[in-house]
Amino acid sequence: MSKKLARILVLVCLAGYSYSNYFYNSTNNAAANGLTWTMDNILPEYNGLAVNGVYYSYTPQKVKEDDFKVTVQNINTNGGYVFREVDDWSGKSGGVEIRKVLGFEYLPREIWGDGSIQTEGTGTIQNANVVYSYRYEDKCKTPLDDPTCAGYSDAVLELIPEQAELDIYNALEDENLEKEEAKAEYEEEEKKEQKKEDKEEDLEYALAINEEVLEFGNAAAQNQLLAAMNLSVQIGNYYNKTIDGGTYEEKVVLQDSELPDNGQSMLFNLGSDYRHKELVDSQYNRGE
Amino acid sequence: MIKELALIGVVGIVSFGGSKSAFALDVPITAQVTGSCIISTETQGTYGQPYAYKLSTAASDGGQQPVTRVDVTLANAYKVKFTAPDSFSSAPQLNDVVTFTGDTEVQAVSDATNMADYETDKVEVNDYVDEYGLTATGSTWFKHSSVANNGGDRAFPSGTYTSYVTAECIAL
Repeated sequence: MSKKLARILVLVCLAGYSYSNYFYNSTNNAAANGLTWTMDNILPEYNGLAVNGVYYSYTPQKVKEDDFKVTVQNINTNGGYVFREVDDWSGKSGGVEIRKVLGFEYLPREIWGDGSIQTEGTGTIQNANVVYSYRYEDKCKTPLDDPTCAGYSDAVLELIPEQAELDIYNALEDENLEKEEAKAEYEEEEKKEQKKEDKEEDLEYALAINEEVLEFGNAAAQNQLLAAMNLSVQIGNYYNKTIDGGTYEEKVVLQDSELPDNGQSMLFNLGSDYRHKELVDSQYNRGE
Repeated sequence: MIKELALIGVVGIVSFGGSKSAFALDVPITAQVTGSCIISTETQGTYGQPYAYKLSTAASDGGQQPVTRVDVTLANAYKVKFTAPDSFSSAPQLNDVVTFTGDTEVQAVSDATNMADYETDKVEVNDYVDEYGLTATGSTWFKHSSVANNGGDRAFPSGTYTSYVTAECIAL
């Protein structure tokens, strides 16, 4: 899906969705850093900003008899002045603060040129304070505020992640499917490779065993040969051994004699004999 | 204080016992007049206590001066009269006589040419009362001060003290 289509969809979905709320605010003291100021440094860069009032105050310092005029003004970028307020203090007492509020019919920001407080005559001013009140539309404070704001579609597209371009799902083009297929192929290749490796390993193993067997057989044969050689050498000693001959006579002679019973245990022996006789007879007298 | 004048026509209905015929008709005329001189409080005042026996609205004494604003939409039609307090409207039981002093002066104006001399042109009626002629349309801010000293330099009893500055628009 191309970005163009995404843009169209977004615009279609939001078609007719528009609102316009105003916010109101005021600036800081424009004359805080001097008696002239540039409005670009005073008014914020809000969409649809329009100034609807100016408040100013200052305190003239002068001698009553002196001529003294104070002019507060803003140049109009289209020529002339947006406003020009003259306070004539000539012949008036100084030291009294003046406060003025000027109202306007929401004059657009673009016409507000440089502002200034100018004096004419003998005297000075103190504590100058100039504040602009304004309103602005909230809908285009950022390009995303409203579809009609400049740069809206580009701002929306910036918010859409790159993946969102694939908004028509094609299973055959699924990245995961490709991965799976690649994985299957890889596994197949792995199996084949493994089988091949196994065969090679088996052959190597068999060859290795044969060699080992041969080596082992050789070793066994050699051992047997050595053992036979050793045996022939060692048993020769026995074959060649001569045992001294002769006769070994019986030396112990038992003489016959009567062995008498123990008289002290005669009573016990009689009892035992009697009991034995009873036991033997009882086998024959069971039916009585 | 806002002075308002109202002229209200009185409507009367006259009827003659049970008769449905009308022999006379009173036509009402009404009007509502709003004041062209409006007084409002810009800043509430507070007393500071630099000494045990002294209460003062001066900032240097820890107090705050009250400020009133008078808006006039009709030039040369009013004068404004301010009366500084000469007693407490509410206070604890006092232990001595309290002496008050007070003053009012113009703090700011909205018209240099026509209001700059309001302060120099004011009339001090007595120690507590000042009057200003409102000769131009616009707004004027007045700043008030009040000082109370307890007799014999005795300490003020603890508690809450309240006093009022009275402001009046008087039609000429």
